[in-house]
Amino acid sequence: MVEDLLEAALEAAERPGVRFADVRYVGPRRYQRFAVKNGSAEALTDSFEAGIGVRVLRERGWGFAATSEASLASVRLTAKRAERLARAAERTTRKSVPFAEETELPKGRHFETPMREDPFAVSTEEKVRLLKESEAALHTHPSVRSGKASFTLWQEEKWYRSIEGASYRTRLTHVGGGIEATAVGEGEVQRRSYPTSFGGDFAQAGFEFLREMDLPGHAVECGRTANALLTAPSCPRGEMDLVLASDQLALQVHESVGHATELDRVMAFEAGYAGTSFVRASEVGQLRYGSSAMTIEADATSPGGLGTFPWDDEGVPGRSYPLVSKGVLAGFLSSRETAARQGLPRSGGTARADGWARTPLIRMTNINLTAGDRSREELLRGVQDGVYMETNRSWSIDDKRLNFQFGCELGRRIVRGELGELVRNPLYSGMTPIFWNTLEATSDRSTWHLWGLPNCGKGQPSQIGHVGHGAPLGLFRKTRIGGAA
Amino acid sequence: MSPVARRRAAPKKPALDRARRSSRRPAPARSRPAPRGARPSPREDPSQPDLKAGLEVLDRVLDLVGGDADARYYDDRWITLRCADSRLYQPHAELTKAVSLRVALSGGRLGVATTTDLTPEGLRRLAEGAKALASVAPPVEGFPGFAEDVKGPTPSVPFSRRVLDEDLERLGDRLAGAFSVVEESLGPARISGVFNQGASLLAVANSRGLRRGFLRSAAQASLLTELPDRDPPVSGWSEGAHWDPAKVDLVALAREAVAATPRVAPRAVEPGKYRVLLMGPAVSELMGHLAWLGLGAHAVEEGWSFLVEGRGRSLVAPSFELTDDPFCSVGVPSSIDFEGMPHRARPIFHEGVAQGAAHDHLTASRAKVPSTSNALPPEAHFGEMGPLPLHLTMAPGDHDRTELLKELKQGIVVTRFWYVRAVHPGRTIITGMTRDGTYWVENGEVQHPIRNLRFTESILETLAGVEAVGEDRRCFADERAFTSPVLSPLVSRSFTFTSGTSF
Repeated sequence: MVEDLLEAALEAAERPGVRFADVRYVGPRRYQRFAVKNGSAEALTDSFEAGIGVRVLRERGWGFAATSEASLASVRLTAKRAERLARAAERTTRKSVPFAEETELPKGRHFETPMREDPFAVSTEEKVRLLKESEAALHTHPSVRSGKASFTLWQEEKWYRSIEGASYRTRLTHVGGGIEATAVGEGEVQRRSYPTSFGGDFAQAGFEFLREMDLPGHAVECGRTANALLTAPSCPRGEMDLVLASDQLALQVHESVGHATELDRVMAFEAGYAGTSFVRASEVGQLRYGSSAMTIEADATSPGGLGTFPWDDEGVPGRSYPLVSKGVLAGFLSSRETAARQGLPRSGGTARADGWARTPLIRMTNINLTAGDRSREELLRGVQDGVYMETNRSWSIDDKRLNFQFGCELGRRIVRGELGELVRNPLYSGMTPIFWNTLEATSDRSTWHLWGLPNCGKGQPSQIGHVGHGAPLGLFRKTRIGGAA
Repeated sequence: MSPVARRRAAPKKPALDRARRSSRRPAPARSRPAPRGARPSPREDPSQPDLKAGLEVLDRVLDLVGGDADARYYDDRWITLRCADSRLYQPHAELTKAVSLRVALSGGRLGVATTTDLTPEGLRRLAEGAKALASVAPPVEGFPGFAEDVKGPTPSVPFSRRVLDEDLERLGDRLAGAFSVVEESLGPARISGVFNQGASLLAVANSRGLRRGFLRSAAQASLLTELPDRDPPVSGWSEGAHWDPAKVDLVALAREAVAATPRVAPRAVEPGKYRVLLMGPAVSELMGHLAWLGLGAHAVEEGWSFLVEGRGRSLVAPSFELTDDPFCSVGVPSSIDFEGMPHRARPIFHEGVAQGAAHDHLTASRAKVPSTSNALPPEAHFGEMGPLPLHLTMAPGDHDRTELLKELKQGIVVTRFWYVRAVHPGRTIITGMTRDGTYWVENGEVQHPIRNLRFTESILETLAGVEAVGEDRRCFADERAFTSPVLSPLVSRSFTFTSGTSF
């Protein structure tokens, strides 16, 4: 049935003047969200969707159309609409759209996320029981006005075919979960999350990932810390040494390196919405992005990563390559169009779409900061007077990815190499290359964690990307640190 | 609107004649008829939005549940034309039909399921899935059951068939015409932007007999013009939305973006407190954050909304009059909320005084007040934020742009904000960057563009400092007009910029 739809779509799309066309049937795409808040079910949702998206490239323009109606007639109409849209695009330009060749196209390949325990086979009763237990334990003090525990489960089956003869089928499974306690005091609101904020940590894995997270075992500490933050002193202000925990450093990588090295942003194709980049296309091998302690790879092969996949949505194999090597810009995230524009021999394989109803965009894979050789304690020992920050609370960066300000849930003073008192509302700010050039060291592999971020927004209509970031702890010298209040 | 996703300007005719003379672009075939058979006419297309059919689907779903439930039927058809590098870069067309179902079992145990599979088997699985979730759900505190219908008809809203009928290739011509206006004025500019238009049908039914629905149309566009050869580059921005796509005039928006594009490179201004003129897109960003930081019942229930202490108190300048008005004729009107409750307009700030929070049926019952018909889709992740006002509407002032600049005297004009995030929710303190047009004003006149700045400021304090409101009233809907605020520019006496950037 699905094969018939794919065939019908490609046949309808392949009209005179069409250089390339591909089709993705996505379904079922299942999304389950379970959230318990203050003992009540805030969300118990099970979403099922399916649909087909057709993309067409004529000489001077792309067209994309999608439908949730899985009939042959609807699919043919959709393919024709894609082709009509490509004609509409051609009416706005005389320039050709370049498109990179790919020599390792999949032919009849298949991939499934390896897992020990299918998350959709675990009973709803057990999921709810785990969440209720975790959430109840957050309420350690009357100040904890809100407790929340959540699981998010996502599974997508995809059939891909192109007129080049590429074909594959995948079933990817992503899971995530976390807890958060919100404490309210006199004019103060503090939140503490585990294992990190905004829904917790995510991975390409089965339910075993959520069991190993042990949310119930961390809830009491979470609630206590939220309450303690209400009366903690404000974070000191000034230019000080900063140690970022792995989860915050992962987000720093995401915002100031991952997005900045997306070639569509570099080429100003995202100027009207997501923004561009301070990085220029000509600066590979030249731009001093950071210190020599900074090496970052785009790795679509990291086991368990949210940015791990065998082939992207243009049929290009996912792979690993450097973006920043010992502080120097080494490459970009690219698609087949942008790679050709850049003169690269092939795409970086990072074009991914959010489901059947969206066109592929350049998305991060797993953008990983390489670990160093110091233990956590050795890293802290290098700080006489500074601040340690953990778990993002707010993030903001300009549209060229230069000026940033990040707030964290938790701060601690570092005095003579030891972690000291809790401080509230910590934040730090800076300019991307200046900040990364103050990176003195990263901690060792034992502190490195591959975080899953399921909420990367980009594109119009909006798309939510699932990406990964591996990071250890990082020591940054003389950073601008402040407190919100 | 789908659960699966998750100006006024001088009305001039499109400059298509000039577009035809352009040497860079193919001539838009304005009068060329669509090829025969290339696209079915609306009457030939068997699948048009159909409220009656949607309600019938919901009846089947409710029959399958056989108990307490409410359900939504969505039919969304949208075209998105994304422009970059002065061309139509990513054109997109989408048709999504979906149903979401919320089942309640005894004690207020709720389960929600959604599907795009509208076959009998798909609907059966939907009903079973929602019931299975509800059977193990922790009870929702104070769940009052689903809403009984209220008296009166579903409020009617205007609809334009043009969003469904317009020829796709002709849309490309409209864009080409706008691009030509920019190029003829600015020379080798880089043009980016987006044009969305479409229709969304929402039908809602529940087991207490409620049956309502409506079809709405919307169009939304933004244009960014850049002169990349300046160092740093300079840019101009224009934006607008309306229920009637004929009122979203791409050529007029292009002229507006051209007028806003400085010809000289921006200069640096030291961070600090300045008087500001916030243009409509910047005000829109503030309003969006104000809504979720404090105007919804969840924030009040959890104690972190400014309304907990501030309701009934004077918090903003009396000249800043704000309502939640789903029927504003220059916006994208909406008939009902996602529980099927007919909308009604409601004050948010009246004569400076903060009014009550937005409620859905559940939070209204818990607060012992009537629902304000602000329910969000229960299946959406953002639905966890609870009820929110989606149609914030400012009363316009009487100042034109020149008069606003005179009121500003000396200070900064901000076209739009970017990457705004909450720093202190209870005090409505947010941080973010300026973007796409920031200017220095002296003696009531724009002097030159300035480099972008980071701000950290309280929304309420900014609104308390409002000294003048513009007469320009425009809708700043998001891409599918899920939110459609109608806002005006305003002058505020103090705004804190904390750092700068290099462009």
